[in-house]
Amino acid sequence: MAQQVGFNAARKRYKRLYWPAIIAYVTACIGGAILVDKDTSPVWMTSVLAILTGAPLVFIMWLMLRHSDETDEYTRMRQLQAFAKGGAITMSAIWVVGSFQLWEVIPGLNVFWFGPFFFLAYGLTYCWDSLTGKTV
Amino acid sequence: MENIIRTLRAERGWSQAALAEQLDVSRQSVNAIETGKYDPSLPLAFAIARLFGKSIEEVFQDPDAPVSKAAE
Repeated sequence: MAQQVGFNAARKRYKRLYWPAIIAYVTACIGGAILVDKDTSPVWMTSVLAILTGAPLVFIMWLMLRHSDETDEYTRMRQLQAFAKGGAITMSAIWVVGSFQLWEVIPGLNVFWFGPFFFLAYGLTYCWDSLTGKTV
Repeated sequence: MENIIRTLRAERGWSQAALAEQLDVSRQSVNAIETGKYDPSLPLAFAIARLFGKSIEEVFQDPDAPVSKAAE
């Protein structure tokens, strides 16, 4: 992991790579929906699309951790707390939903959706701590 | 940990954002430190004291510290 570079420089370094990654993700989603037909397209094509869709999100996760490492100490503390809480909420959801699926109470749910769920849990936790006064 | 950062900042006419800019931290960091919700690390505490031209002891006070006889 990188060394602390300060709040402003860390934010610039984060944004410089975050937006291209988001554009790559949206392009892969829209491009895939237009170009690929799940029923008729060859496996290699859908595999490439899956990698192109997932890779930017993996990259953004790494980017978030790098930003936490480089930013100022208070921001890092808040981000890592939200990361841990968001991760714990997501893991809890996986266990609960997974148990229901194991006993065939509910039908299968695509694992993919736990990714957006994590980002939602992370964001809400970050905002919740601000709103409840736990942080400023 | 108590501190007099808000007073020192007001004396110089600096906003929280201006102080944050000089310390290269977020404005929220300055707010959290001023209100006592967050205690800075030693390097940041030294940087704050240095910026105001004071010692750490002058900027930060331990409310649990025993009162010396001289102070009494």
